[in-house]
Amino acid sequence: MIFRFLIVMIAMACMIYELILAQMFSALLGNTLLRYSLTIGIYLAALGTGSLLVKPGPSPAIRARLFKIETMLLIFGALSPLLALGGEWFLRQLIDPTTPAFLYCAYFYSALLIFVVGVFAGMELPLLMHWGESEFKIPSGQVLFFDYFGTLLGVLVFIYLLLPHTGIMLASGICGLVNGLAAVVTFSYPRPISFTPKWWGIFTTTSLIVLFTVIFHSRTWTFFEGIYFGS
Amino acid sequence: MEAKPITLALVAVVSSACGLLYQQLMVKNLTGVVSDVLLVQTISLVIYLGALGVGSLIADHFSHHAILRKVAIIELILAFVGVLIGPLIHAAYFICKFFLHEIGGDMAAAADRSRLLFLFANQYLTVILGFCTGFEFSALIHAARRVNEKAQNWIIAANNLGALLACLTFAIVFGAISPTLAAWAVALVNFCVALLLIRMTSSKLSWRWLWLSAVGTSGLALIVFLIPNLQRLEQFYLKSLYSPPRRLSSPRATLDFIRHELLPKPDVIRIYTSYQTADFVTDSTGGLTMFLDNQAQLSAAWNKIYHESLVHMPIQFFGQVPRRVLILGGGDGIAARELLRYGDRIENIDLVELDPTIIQLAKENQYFLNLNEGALTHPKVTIHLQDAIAFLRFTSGRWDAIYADFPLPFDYDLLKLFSVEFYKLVAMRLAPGGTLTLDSGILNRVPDEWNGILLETLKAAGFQTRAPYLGNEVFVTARLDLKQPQTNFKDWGINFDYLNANRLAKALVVDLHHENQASRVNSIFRPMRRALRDFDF
Repeated sequence: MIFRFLIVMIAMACMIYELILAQMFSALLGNTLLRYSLTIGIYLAALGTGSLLVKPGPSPAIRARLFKIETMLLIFGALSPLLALGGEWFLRQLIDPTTPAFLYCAYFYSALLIFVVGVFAGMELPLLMHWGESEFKIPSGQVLFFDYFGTLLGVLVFIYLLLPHTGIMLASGICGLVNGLAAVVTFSYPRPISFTPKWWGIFTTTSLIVLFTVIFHSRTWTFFEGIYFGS
Repeated sequence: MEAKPITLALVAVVSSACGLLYQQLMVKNLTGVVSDVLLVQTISLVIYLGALGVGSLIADHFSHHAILRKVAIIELILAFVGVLIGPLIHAAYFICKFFLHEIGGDMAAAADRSRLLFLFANQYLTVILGFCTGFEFSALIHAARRVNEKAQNWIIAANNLGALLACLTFAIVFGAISPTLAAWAVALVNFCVALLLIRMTSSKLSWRWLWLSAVGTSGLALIVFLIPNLQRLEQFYLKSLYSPPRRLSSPRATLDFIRHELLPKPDVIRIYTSYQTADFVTDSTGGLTMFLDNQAQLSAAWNKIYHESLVHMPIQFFGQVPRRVLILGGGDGIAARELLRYGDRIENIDLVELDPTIIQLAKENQYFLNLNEGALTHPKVTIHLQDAIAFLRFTSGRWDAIYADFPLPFDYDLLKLFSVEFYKLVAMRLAPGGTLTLDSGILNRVPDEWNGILLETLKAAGFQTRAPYLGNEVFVTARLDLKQPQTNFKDWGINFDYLNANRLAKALVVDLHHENQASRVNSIFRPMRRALRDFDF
């Protein structure tokens, strides 16, 4: 049951990141239709790349890899709105924003960020399939079912709950916390696995940063919103 | 015969691409009637994902021997659904509009109910598409795992590659063609793949080979028969779309209506652009009205009333002709035509339009040229083919007047152009004493939540003066400073068709009925989920 719940949570966060990135970049660079198509296209390509990077292995090794991926999504997924705005601020320092060069660099940066989040998200499903098969004897069709269910839930939760009621900043933070929870479950269920202190350190630090952005989301957003208006 | 991993991966690419393309084309077909893209996309995507999940779950319980033959049968089912998507959706619309739509009473409520009925009535197609695609994907994964564990990852990657191809094909190739024709093109791929798989997996002399081949070939023949009749099929739908709703009580009345009223109507000219559909419908006087995504945008009959209200009234209110003007939207060129009537007082006009097809039509099409009098080729007019938000964010210019001539936000996505961020960007680009004027969607004398949302959003963006005024509909003119609009008529030497001293004097009498509504600010990053209510079905 816990494993199936984990699949749903991970798939939901994966879908919400895709929607957050599309919404964010359509607000930053305009042309919603093109931006949504490009975001979904790049994200899907990255998901495919991510799934190819996964190698089958024994259950503890798979879980250790999944833990690291959830930690990376805590950084790149949960903080993606801030990374998008921060990247634009950095580009503004280097290139005149009224020039085409700035726009091309901004397009490239947006594609890069989408790709990075997508690759990490793409590694999740094959890892979950291998883990489910080797540890719980769950057939792949069932893993896919819960993955699709999580995606479905992600669409509904983002559009009808998170976006209108919490806004993008808090939504991505909440998703990050879901990834953090998934990392903890991956580490401890059904029995704890051993880990290097380095990864615990990375996990704890990023979790605290995301928790900070969730608690102080309003102030964090006010700070970063200035970048949107060019300050 | 067991399949090789590369064959399985190729089939996964085609299956995933075709499934997602059908889903997107269904959404495009449905949004032709239900303009709220977000609602249609959410409902369809959720049902599609649910059906994908159920399909993949059920695939676990099937034997995965001779998987390619099973996939071939599913490809045939998908292909036939693809062929019929357009005609079935059009038929469903006809039934909803002329048999089930409530006539009389609250028009908006009746339209809402009919739209929802139409939207959900067509979801059986989404269920079939999702179920078949999910079944195929899961079955292919099982088949791949029989080869080796790593092959499963190739199928997942192939599935994502297929989805990527679908997104690109939809955005680049299918964006500007009829969704029905696009679905037939996808069905053609399904039929070809199915026939290829049947050829690969069956002995030529078996009955199974014979009947599957016959089904596949008849599907191909059906497409060949339908393609020359596409125009007639679409005209039937388009004429239904622009006919007023009525209740048909019997088969005879239906046939009479189709033969004597619907079919003799002048053809609707439909142009698919990459961003929207533009329909040109002949009205009762023989003039043409242009509809963008089913919303009336331009008519020979009322374009002067609309554009004189939009352009000249704010100039009259504040008694100053702007030197530098920015028009956001307004690709038809008529607002520019009105501004050019001020002659030398206007220094330059920048026009920002996203859709190049509309600009091309406005510059070359005789219907548009008659209306805009060639304004877009005037030396004072500079056209920027760009998204309005991106233009405002990355420009350094300032203007004395900015006109936001956008379609009303019947769609969630258009709400971005009515957001606090958008108005803040406009405010940053206004010269001191400059004005913003927009077509508001505010309803005069009808209580509506939107009235409060729009005015509160403008206030939050820093516009201290916000004056709703009445032309043929309610517009809003706003300034960053506090200045009351004046209604004394100034003679600028322009002969107006609609605007006069009497109409100007009454223009500011707008009954908003928004005081008791919950006032909220619409933001790009935290949007109001509420789009404007559409009264028509």
